[in-house]
Amino acid sequence: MAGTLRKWLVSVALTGGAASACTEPALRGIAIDPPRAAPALAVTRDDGTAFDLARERGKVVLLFFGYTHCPDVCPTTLADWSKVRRALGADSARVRFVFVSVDPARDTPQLAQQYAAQFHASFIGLSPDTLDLPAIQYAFGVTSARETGTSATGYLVSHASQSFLVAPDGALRVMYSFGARVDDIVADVRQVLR
Amino acid sequence: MTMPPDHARVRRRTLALLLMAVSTSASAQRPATAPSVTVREAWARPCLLGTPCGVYVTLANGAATAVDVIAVTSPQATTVEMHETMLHGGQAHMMAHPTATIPPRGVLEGRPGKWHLMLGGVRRALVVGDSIALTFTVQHQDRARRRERIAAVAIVRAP
Repeated sequence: MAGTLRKWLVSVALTGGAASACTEPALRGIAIDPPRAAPALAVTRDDGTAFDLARERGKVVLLFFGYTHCPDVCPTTLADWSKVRRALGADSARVRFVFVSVDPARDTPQLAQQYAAQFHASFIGLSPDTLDLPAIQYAFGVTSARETGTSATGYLVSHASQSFLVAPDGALRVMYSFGARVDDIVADVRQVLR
Repeated sequence: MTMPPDHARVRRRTLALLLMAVSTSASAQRPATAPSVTVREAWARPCLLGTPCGVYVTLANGAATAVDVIAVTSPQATTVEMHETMLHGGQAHMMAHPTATIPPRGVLEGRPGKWHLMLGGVRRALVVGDSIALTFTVQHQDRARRRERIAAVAIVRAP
């Protein structure tokens, strides 16, 4: 009896996995399961218009929290997005690439936008108000901290290295560790756009 | 005065042998004078005026002893620091290092998310195709503590 039960459980596990794989391929990044509604993110852009994440329904939004004085992790992530955008071809018109500064003391909205646009003219750079930033970071579960005395070029900022994918239905669906493969991000974007 | 053909041939051969000897002697000396540290790869990303620029350089050490990189300078920047990115629990930190060691017959690899240079006070924005001149001062960890200067040029690549 116990043997039969074990066989049944193994069979369910195997066929269940196979069925799931047939219906929807697994996301390649770190799936946020169950997906949850993306937190509010409304920031005034450099040109005075508002960026409101809630108004981006129907598009995929890739989000990253960094700072313009970062010489490594931030430009690497945005350079990878640049490759993602290229690989997506025509589908890239349905994707927003959004860089959010966690260093509003130095990053004006203009600087944040200029910084993001170095990687592609369509990339969006935001610098939230200093007073709004903690609530935004808390809602997304990311943190940052100023680290003083480590650099001759001013302070450094430790910050979350992950990026997020918000699906067209406004759900926070996937998180990517720093250095995630471009192909994996492209595959996930295509999957959630279907 | 014309020389008999045989004499001319001997003279030419002697001259060739002399040249060969000088050349052999020069090449025999080359390993002692050539820098033991070489630049394998050097590149950077575009960067805005007023923001630090990340540069990735890979240095190879051909010597049997370790070599320390003790300084890096660039005429295009006020400061050049050696940094290492550390990831702890998904949080990115940067650590400045005053020196970096290239192991004996090994490499010090600069790459995103790891060891890199941070240029501060860059005199103008760097765009794709620009080149950045760098000078590394290295010191051998041998008894003589011999120092060398290594020149490198990093090219700004498209993102």
